[in-house]
Parts: sequence; C-alpha cells; structure tokens
Amino acid sequence: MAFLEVKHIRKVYTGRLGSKETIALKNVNFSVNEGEFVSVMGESGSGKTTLLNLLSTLDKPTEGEITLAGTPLTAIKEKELSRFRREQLGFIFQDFNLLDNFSLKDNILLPLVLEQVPVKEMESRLKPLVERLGISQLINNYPYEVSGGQKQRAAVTRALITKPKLILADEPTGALDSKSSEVLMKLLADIHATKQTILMVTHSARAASYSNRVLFIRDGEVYHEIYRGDQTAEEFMNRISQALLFAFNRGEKNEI
Amino acid sequence: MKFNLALKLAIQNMKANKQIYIPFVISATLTVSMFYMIVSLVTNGFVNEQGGSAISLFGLGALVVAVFSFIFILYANSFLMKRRKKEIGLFNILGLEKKHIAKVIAIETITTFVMSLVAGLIVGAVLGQLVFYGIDYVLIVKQDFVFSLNVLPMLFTGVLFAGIFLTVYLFNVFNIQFSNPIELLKGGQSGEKEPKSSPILFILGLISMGMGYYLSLTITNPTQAVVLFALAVGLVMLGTYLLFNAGTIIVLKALKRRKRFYYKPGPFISISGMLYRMKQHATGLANICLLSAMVLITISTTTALYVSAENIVSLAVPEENILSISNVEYLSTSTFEETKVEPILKTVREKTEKSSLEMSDLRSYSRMTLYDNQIINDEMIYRYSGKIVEGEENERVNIRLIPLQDYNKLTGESLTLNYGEIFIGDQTNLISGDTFTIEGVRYQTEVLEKMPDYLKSASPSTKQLVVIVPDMNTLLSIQRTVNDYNENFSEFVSKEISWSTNGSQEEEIAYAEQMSEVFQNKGLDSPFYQNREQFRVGYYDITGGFLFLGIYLGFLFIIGTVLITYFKQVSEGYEDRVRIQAMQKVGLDKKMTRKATRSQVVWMFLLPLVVAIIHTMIAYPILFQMLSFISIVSHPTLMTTFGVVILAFTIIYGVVYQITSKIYLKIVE
Repeated sequence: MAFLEVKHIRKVYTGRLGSKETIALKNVNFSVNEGEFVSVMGESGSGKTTLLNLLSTLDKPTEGEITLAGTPLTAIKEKELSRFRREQLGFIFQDFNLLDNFSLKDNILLPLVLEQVPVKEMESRLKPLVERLGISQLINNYPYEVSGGQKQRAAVTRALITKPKLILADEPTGALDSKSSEVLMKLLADIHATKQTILMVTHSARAASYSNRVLFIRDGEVYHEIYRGDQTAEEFMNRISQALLFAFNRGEKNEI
Repeated sequence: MKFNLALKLAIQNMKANKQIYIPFVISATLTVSMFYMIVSLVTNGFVNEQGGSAISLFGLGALVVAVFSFIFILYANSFLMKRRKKEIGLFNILGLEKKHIAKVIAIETITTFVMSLVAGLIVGAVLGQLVFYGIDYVLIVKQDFVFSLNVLPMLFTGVLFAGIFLTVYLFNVFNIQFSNPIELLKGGQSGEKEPKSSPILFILGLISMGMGYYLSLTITNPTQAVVLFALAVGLVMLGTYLLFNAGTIIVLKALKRRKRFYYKPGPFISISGMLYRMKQHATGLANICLLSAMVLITISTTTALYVSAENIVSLAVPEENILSISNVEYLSTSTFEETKVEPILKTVREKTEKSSLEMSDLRSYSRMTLYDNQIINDEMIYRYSGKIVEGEENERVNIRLIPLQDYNKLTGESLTLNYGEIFIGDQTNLISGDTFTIEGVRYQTEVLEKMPDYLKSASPSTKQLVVIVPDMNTLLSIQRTVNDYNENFSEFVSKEISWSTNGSQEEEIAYAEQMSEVFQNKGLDSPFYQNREQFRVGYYDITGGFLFLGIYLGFLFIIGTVLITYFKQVSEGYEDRVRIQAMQKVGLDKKMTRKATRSQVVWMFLLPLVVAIIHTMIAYPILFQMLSFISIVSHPTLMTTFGVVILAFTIIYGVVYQITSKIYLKIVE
C-alpha cells in the first residue's frame, strides 16, 4: 500500500438552495510513495484547490477515500482533526499566512507551542532548520520587516518543524519573484532529498520541474502524469511544458 | 457625476458594509442621546431652580460629554475607514475620480449623521423620561421632575454633531486625497509595528498616580479635601492613561521574555495578541477604567448622601415633633412649669386628639445650651468670659447642660451622682483627663455609657459636649455666673418637649402646619416647634436635587462605558478574525481558540474594572472628607454604599461584557 492513497475521489458542491450542483472533482485516483515529491498542475478551476483542501482535511470528499500512512482521513473524528493537521501535515501557503503579531521565530514555533513541546526542544529543533533555510539572522524580525522570499522560507520552516509525514504546498512560488522562487524551489528540493514527502500544487512549469513526478488535473480528473526519472530539471521542465501545450491543444480540439 | 448615481453607490456601499456600519450607527446614536440628555438638563426647569451651581455643573458635564463624543466618533470612524480603504482604492482604480468618491462619502456621511441624530434624539428623549421617572420613583420625597422636550437642546445637539461629522468627513476626504490607489488597496492589512516600551512614561505614570493617591490618603480635613480634589483627580487620570499605555506594554513584554510561561498555547496566543493591539487599545481601556471609576464614585457618593440625608433628618429632628420653650422671664422652675409648660402640654394633647393622628411618647426635659465656647485644659471657656483664645486650632464647642433628674426621667435610667461629680457625653474626646472645670468649679467626670442619639450633635462640623449636672440648682448657678459676663446677652434654661405622631406624610405636614399656627397664637416667648416630616420635605428639596443630578450623571457614564466596551469588542473582533483564522489553518482547534481568546477577553475585562475599583477605594478618604463638608456621613454608611455600588456595577459591566464577548466570538469564528 502506498504512503498516500487517493481512491475514486468525487467532490460535489451543492448550492445553497440545493438545486444547483457543481462537480469539482469527478473521479480522482493517484498514490504517492513515501519520500516522493509530486507536483499537481492544472488550470484555474481544474479542481486543484479542492483536492488540496481534501488532502489537508479542511473539507471532506463526497465519495471515495484518502488514506495517509494507512489512516483513512474520513475516519478521523472532528475533534481530532486539528491535532491531526498539526502533527501529520505541514502547510505552505501562497500568501504565507504568517501572523503579524508574532516574530518569525514565534511564527515558526506556533505549531510546537500548540503541541505543548518543552521550550528546550523547541529551541533545539529551531536552530538547525533556520540555518538550513538561511533565515537564522532574521528570526527576531517581524513578518512586515522581511521580504516575500524570506517570509516564505519562514513559512517552510514552520511547516517542517513538526516533522510532518506530508508537506502540502499550495502555489508556494505564486507570490514570489523569479529569483526568490528559484531559491525556494531549491530549498524544497533539498528538503525532498532528506526523504521528506511533498505534494505541491502549482501553475508554474519551472516550479514543477523540481519535483520527481507531475500529475495533470483537468475538469476534476487526473488525465496525465509524467515522471522525471534521471532527467535534469531543465529537460524535465521542457517535457512538462510540452505536456501542458499538448493538453491545451487537445482541450481546444475537444471543445470544438 | 450624477447625484442619483452617487446616491445609489452610497446606499450600496452602506448595505455591503452593514456589519461595520450598524455598530457605527448604534454607537453614534447612543453618543447623540447621551449628549442630548445632558444638554437638555441645562435648560431643564428643575435644574434651573437648583441655582447656579447645578447649571454650571451640568454645563461642565455637557462639555465633557461633547469632548468625549468627538474623540469617540473620530475613533469609531478611523476603524470604519481602515476597513473601507480597500474598496475605495478599487473604485479609484476602476475610474472613479477622487472628487466623485468625496461626493459618495459625503452622501454616506450625511445619511449616517441624519440617522444617528434622529435616532439619538428619540432614544435620548425616551431614556431621559424613563430615568426621570425611575429616580422620581426611588426618591422618598416626590419632586417636580419633568424631562421637558425643548427645541433648544435638540438644536444644540444637532449643531454639535453636524460639526463632528463634518470634521470626520473632511478628515476622510483629506486622507483619501493624499494616498494613491495602491496604498488604499493595501490599507486594511498593513502590518502594525510592535509597540515600544517606554520606561520614562511608565515612571511618570507611576509618579503621577502615586501623587494623586498620596493626596487622597493623607487628607485630614474637609476644606483641604474640597480644594485638592480636582488636583488629585487630574493626577490620577494622567497616571491612568500613562500606565495603561506604557505599563501594560512593559508587563506584557516582561511576560513574553519568560520563555517557559510564554511558549504555552494560551499565553502564546493571548499575550502576543494583546501586545499587538495594545498600542491602539490602551487608551480605550484607560477610558473604560476612568468612566467606570466615575460611575462608581458619583453613584456611591450620591447614594451615601441620600442615605445620610435620613441620618441628618433623624438627628436634627429626633422625634416626630419637638417643641422648645425658653424660660425668658427667669421664673422659678415650678412657676415656669405651672404657667408655661403645663398649659402648652395640655394644648398639644387636645389639638392632637382632635386631629386624625395618634400621639405617643410625650417626653420633656430641661436643658441649657451654651454655644461657641472653648475647652482648654479641660476647662470651659465661656464665649463672653473674655478668655477666648483666637486661632484656628481652638475649636468652638457647644455645651449642653441637663439636670440629672431630667436625664433619668427622659431615658428611664436611674443614674446617681455624688457631690462634685458630673456625667459627660463626649463623642469627640474634647476632655482628655477625668475632670472638667466649669466657671471655677472642678467636677469629677463620669462617662455616659448610653447617651440617646437625639442628644448627639446634628452636624459633623459642630463639636458638642453633653454635661449632666447633679440638680437644677447647679444648672441655675452656672446660668447666673455666665450671665454676669455680658449684660446684653442672657442664657436661658429651656424646656424640651417631644412626642411622636403616626400618620401619612400629608397628614403629618397638615398637622405640623396647624400646630405651628397654634404655638404662634399662644404668644409664647421664643417658641420653637419642629416637625420631622416638615423638616424632611425642606431638606430633600435641597439634597434631593443634587442626588438626582448625581444619579443622572452616573447613568450617563454607564452608557459611555457600555458604548466603548461594545465598540471595542466589535472592532477587535474584525481585526482578530484574520489572525485566528490563519492560526486555525496551521492546526489551532476551536477549543484552543476559545481558551486563548477567553483568557485575553478576561484580562481586557478585568484590568479596567480592577483598576477602577482600586481608584474608587483609594479615593475613599478624600471623598469621605468632602462629604463631611456638606453632610454627616458615617464610615459604615459610606463603606456599605461603596460596596453595594461596586458589586452592582461589576454585575452590570459583567453582563455587558458577556454580551459583547459573544458578539466578539461570533465575529472571530
């Protein structure tokens, strides 16, 4: 059994009056092995965000089942969900979601504080991580005092500090310039190299090229996937771009 | 831009932002009604009857409320505009010129102004009427309170708030004029810097508050209290503002430095949250604290005065009816009794029998009261003896002499005195040793254990010594001696007669009027008749007015407190919402959210209240002295009213806080 299993997921949103139904995900199937770095690509409205919300337990599928390391997510009780998110998942958001009233350090420590980890252990976990992410000089600053790239690196640190089983990244480079994006993606690749499982949703072929597999999603279905294998990031990016172009053309044809 | 379009846009804006417009309009409405209620008192007929001091008191009150209204509406507006900057920026980007935006905002401002003014005047009129009825109901003696609806106060309120809203409008337009659309778009979420701690302000606050406290705690006499009260209040107010601003930040930062304490879910969220918003809310908290202190002080002092008014009535007129006849013709005791006292007692009995009232407890005793003497080294210095020592430290004392027989008859006791002994009733320790010398005769003093209340001093500022002499002859010999000093002035022995009657207030007063007439027609020399109900009505005419004004002011302050608390909770709710939701995304559960926000809310609730209570308790000595200046207030009375008022206020404030916290939690979640 794979590390993360997504089986026959269907998600339907019902309008307020119950008359109008929107199918966000039709039938999604895929699995992720431990230590994989998987990107999910698709256009706006393809169901990426819905998928991510289901994976992060913020929402429940209408049909189908998701299991993480053998635990079916639907079996987790409502009360346990926050705890589960805190312990098993790490989140990286497009808009960072750092809190202005905390210094970067406190932002990073937030999940550990909620977990009631002793102060000593917090410090010992914090130190190597901030050094690895190159923000050790900045941790006493506040979010509004640092750049977007630095903010996102702090957010990555926050995601890593709980040693989560799975990191879910939602367009992590979406609000960053190309230079910061590159730095961030290299960091994510490094993190992946330590056997960390990462699932990233992105628009950017360049960002996706750092992962070792790309899933393409469209109209609520995974319609294509490609593996990086031994290719360099550059070669992989070209393949991703071609795949996207192909999909784009095919889509146009289908609609005609 | 057509007016219709601007109007449509304005209405749409207000509908879209109703979640913040509704609190704003409610707050503005209450502010208007608050001001209207106080201004209408300045022109109120009843207040005007109270004379100049009441009018100037309310004039001052109106000024304070006007300043408060101005600051409060500006504060509420800044919060409103912060949330609206984004959409204004969007309008600007979408092609609406700034002058068009100004037009839309003008319509919005006028709409909110008119709504708040009309609603405020209605609420004010209704509330004013209710408060008048309420207070009238509580008062023992009914007064002519009418909450009149005059045009002038309404006009005045309208003009003031038009001015305030115009300022707000100009302020907003000015702000928009000088910022570009991008800034406006980001306006709502620009990060606020962590406040800096300023030890200097903290120390200044400590000094100021300490000095104010010191003044109150060390004051020893009423005159000093009246003079220094304003200064003490000023110092404490300044100290409160400074300490809330600087002190809270210093304390929170110190807590934050204690890692083991800080890095726990509850403190982590609440301390950082409080620190973050302390800069803008410290003043709000200080306002709540000071308003609460004012509520506590005004209501408890006026209530104490009210309760003590009864004390004064029962001390000044201890029995329902008192009649005093002086023996001005130097008749012998028995002749005086037969020709003057007995006939009048007969008249009293007859007249009372004819009236609807029943008489009981008819008592009489003789006494001689010597006024304005001094007691130096346990010796009486008679006022015309020529031995009076001028100077503030030598207080004047009234000496009340009563023969033992009369005293025993009056109290039903059977005390005895040996030769050369007297009893003294000495409430204020005027005699230090165990002898007292009256005109060359030194008496051994025995203390009266159970002196009846009606023999005690009726006023705290006059000192009195009650002396029970062995017999009438001793009294008469003292009378002869003192009357030798000044040939133009004579002291008389008088007969004090008292009796009880039971009837309703109207009956008593009718009876009193009838009796007064009877005694005047008798042609007695210096007859002095007092009826308690008559006195009470007269006394309440004066004190009732001030009591009423105090309660009214207290009520206004309560509205102010409620207003700030409500608005603070709502505005903080919207600000905290984003933070809480972000935290929930990284694994903060609902239970923890509640726990953390609750501890934050409890602190914000308790801090102003506790400080207000401390202020009130520290103000106790100075208030006691001030009250002694105008009335008799005993410590038990004042302490009880303080206790009851503090308790009642805590409950009211608690309920208001409960309701507003629910609103807060609803917004946050």
